[in-house]
Amino acid sequence: MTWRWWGKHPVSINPGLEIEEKLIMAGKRKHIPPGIALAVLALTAALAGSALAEFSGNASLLPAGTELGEEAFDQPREVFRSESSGGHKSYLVNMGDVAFSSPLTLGGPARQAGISCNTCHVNGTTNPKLYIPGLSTQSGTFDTTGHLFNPKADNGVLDPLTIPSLRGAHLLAPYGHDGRTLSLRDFLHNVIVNEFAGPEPSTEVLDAMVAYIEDIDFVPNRRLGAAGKLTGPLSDSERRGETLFHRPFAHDPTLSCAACHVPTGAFVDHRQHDVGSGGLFKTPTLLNANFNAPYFHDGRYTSYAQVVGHFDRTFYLGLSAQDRQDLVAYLQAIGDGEQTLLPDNVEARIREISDFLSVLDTAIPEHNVAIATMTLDAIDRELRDLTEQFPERKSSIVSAGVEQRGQARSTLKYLVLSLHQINSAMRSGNFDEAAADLAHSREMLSAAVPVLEASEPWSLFNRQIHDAHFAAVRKLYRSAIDPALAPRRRYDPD
Amino acid sequence: MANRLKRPLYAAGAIATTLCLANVAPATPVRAAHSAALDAAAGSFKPYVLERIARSLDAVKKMRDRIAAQDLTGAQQFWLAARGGWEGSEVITNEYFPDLDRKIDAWPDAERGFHAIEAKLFGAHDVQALPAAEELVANLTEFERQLRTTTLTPQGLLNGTAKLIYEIGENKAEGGESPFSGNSLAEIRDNLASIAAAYELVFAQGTKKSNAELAKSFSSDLAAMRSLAAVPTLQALDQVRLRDASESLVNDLAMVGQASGLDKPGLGN
Repeated sequence: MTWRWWGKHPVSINPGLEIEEKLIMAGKRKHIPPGIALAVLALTAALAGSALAEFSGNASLLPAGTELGEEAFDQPREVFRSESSGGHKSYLVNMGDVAFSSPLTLGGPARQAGISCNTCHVNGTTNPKLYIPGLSTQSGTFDTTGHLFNPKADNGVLDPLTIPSLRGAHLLAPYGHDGRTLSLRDFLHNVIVNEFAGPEPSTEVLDAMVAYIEDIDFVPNRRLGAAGKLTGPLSDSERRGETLFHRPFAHDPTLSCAACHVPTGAFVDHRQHDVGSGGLFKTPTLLNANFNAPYFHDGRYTSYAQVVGHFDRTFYLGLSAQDRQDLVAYLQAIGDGEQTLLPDNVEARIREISDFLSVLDTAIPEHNVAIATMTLDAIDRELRDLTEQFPERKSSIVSAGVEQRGQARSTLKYLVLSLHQINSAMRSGNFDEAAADLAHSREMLSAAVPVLEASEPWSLFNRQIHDAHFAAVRKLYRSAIDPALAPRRRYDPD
Repeated sequence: MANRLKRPLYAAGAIATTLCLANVAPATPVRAAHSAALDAAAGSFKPYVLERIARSLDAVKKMRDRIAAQDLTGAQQFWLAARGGWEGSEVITNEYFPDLDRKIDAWPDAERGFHAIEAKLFGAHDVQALPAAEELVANLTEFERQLRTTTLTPQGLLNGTAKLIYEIGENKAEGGESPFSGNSLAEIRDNLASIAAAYELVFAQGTKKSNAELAKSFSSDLAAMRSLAAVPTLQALDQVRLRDASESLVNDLAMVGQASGLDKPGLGN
């Protein structure tokens, strides 16, 4: 079977092994269609199978071995500046969140595979699990100039970059690892149109996405005081580390860690430097950095100890083992954050859906069909994904709670159908009817909450069921691995 | 209201709107409002589905024999044939026989059912699946036996058809139900054929009489889905439009049920 989707990046000829090592799971996290995993596996079979070739009329949307990180039980906490200051997210911010979560913002294969900005930047952060064969060299990296998502952007080099967290992005210009773009707006435009072959975004969509990203704040770190100084009870190691962080480098007293990672300025200096990593790259923030591994533009380091070792070698710092430990302790202290993960549950999902619905409160009366359509699509996906958190009756994992799960699924499906009514009314130009349908959908959503919560114990929001479900998926997928293609693999027991 | 045709009973402003979502239980008890003719029409769907189950069972038996003979290609061929019959009867499988459906079409399950065997045959290229094949034969045999003595009702068929239509717009379109074999697109087409048969045999005649415009809308939306599914590959499938068409069709069907004196379709499970 000939398969040339990946151009310069050949797909592994050993998809069975790859799938074992980079297992894909049926969808879990928001905005990632549950079916992607299955589609990818279809390709695994297709690539592996001479006998299959004559039967298969299908092919997959993403390469075999793709991992989108959907299995996570928790999700990154979102902190919005507007809410932290006692206000609420604006229409623009919510619209930006919709666009950020919508595959329709992107184009080509990304849109077809249901990939959105949020797939890589989960809740505006990073995605350390993401791995796409041919575009990643390790988990959490991705080549934005590869062949897959826009052949026109293919630069012929496998040069993946880490996926940066967008927390605090309003403080972190310029944008891009190499700091090539001063404006977040311009940067977003390039990502959408050039890297992901998306349609030219409207002015209001770009404005909204900028508003959304600029509203995402760092997760609070109570150990950081004024001017970026550590506060509260410090360990001796942290205290020494802070001193070392400010100490001028021996070979060039104009330099220090703090000279670039400016504590009073979100630990950045908005400039590019050559730190011996293969070119000029902008100074990354150290805030919340504990949750942003792997480190450096290409993700070459997985720990602070490795990062400190790199600077020690490159800048001849002459650090002792204790010095290194102290710097790591300091980095861990300033890179920390409170409650960076929150449980994924009905409440969180409903909150997000409600935020998305709020966009329609403005878009429908304004007869803004483009925004309303994108929003309805995003909510539809959210609701369908939420439906899949309540295993259907034929699930081999959970047998209890059949009635509750059935009610939850039915409730959500009727909500989806009510959204369809809004869309139908809009398409026929009847915006008053669409507004009435929106009010009705909102009532249905309110009525749905107790039904969904009653079913939560038998859903994938229950850790035990979640783990059993994904273990069963893993087992099934492992059973699909051709031993001839993975001859030396010893399978771990579940 | 200009868009009244597209407003089933659960829509805003529609007659008899209810927010009692918890009432949407599977296999909703049938009200006595529909006609005896509709009951008879529901019965007429049984030969259709029996034929498909028989076809599936026959293919599964042959698949088992091919597995026993260590013939991978033959086993794969009969697995695909068996899926055609099974997917052609999904209007009733989950609605009427949930326990057997759980054994026959289990997910995720590496030990039992169609997909466990699929993973072996198409993914691992391994014919060591005889126990699962034997069990599948037994379960499909039991399915056929129970089907022969089951009375199909208009409400049950309305529920099963609505769920299947919705499901096509759901995860099947987003990657497929049979990932290891690459058979998902064919299965969508088999589903659509059975949906068309259920509608034509059970609901079409009454709907044409009571609401010709609705009947026309249903046929048009169903044709749109079939047209969308008539693509060569899953990549070529326009998933957004397929989902949109499926939602339109479920709404149509809800109104068909309403016009036939039935409850709104249960979409759970």
